[in-house]
Amino acid sequence: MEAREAEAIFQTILDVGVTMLKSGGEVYRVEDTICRLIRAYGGENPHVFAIPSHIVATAEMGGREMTSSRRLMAPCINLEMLDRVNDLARHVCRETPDAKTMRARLEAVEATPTYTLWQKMFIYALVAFSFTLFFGGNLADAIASALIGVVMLFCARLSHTLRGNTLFNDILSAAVAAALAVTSVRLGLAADADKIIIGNVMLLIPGVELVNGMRDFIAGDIQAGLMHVAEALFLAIGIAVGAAGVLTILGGVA
Amino acid sequence: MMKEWLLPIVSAALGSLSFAMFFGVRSRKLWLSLLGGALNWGLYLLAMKKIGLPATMAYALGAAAGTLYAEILARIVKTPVTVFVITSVIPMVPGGSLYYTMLGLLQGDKATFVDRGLYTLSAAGAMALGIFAATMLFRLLFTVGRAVCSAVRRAH
Repeated sequence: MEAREAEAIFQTILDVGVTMLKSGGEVYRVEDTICRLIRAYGGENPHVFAIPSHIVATAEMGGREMTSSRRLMAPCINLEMLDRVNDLARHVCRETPDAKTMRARLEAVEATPTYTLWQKMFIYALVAFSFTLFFGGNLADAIASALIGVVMLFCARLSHTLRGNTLFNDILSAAVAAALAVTSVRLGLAADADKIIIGNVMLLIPGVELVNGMRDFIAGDIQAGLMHVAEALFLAIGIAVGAAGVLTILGGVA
Repeated sequence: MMKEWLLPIVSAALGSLSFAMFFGVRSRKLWLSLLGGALNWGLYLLAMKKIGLPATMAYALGAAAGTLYAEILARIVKTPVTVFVITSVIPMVPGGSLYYTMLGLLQGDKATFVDRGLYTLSAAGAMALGIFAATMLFRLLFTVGRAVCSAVRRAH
């Protein structure tokens, strides 16, 4: 393999790892995939290290040793993309296409369609609706919750526009959810503000971080596990601060 | 009957489905997520109400069932395990009691804080234990199964 092609393949392999990690893949899966891909192209002695915010890989490919790293900022969980990039890695391992083809396929995966705005409004409403019912709210609560769920989507968009991070978004969204829930109960539209708030809080709960953190611990990636679980705790506190702050100002749930 | 079994299971299943959509999942994987949510909450209720296990044990059992389901399904439809673990275990995440814990803390209600806080911790711990046990069990079965398969093939 000529040196330039080997370099291009090595860089593309790392980018496959980046897509996998940011879309919600566990750390061990990312490390394992990069090693497999490097070996599939005849690379030797791959050493890969990943944590949720960074990947670094070293290997001997095309007759020389290469090292490269990637810094990941905020993750953008998309399990459909994770599934597709996993498929891509499996195919590439089997067929070892040239760097250009692999890059084109990766770009196709990156362009995984997301739900449209209307579909997202429905999804947010459905999450809030189901979890309000699940935690014991009645039908009126669930319907109020679904409407507030749609507002949650626009809160997320607003904090994205304001360049706020996840913590900012969670505080803002939880505060808005609590305020609207209490208002709807005071107007007599719903019965139990707590149930409405919990249903909407499920939209903010860092479920992927929490579950992946546990799976990291199981796989022996203690650093990654600690990062994920710490992030989940941090966000949970943010949610509580937002909701409880508003409830205290408004004088309780009743 | 309706209030005790049907409503929780249906809303857990809907919750799993909507969470899968929330994280961008498409196609038939959505229906598999729905089934996962129903399965693990159904098993939790069964363990607690029919067998009479304490809530934490039932939690561990439910999470283990969800994880086992996800591990098996991931092999069949060739999808990362995470996709199904997250979506089927999501009704188990003690979001409600976490909320009451934090509320108790911030409003100075110590009794609620301690009571709900301990419940949240034990539920989360039980969930982690369930996921852990199921992953280990599945890995064991998978490795043994593969060894047996290759031994049989060699014997032919």
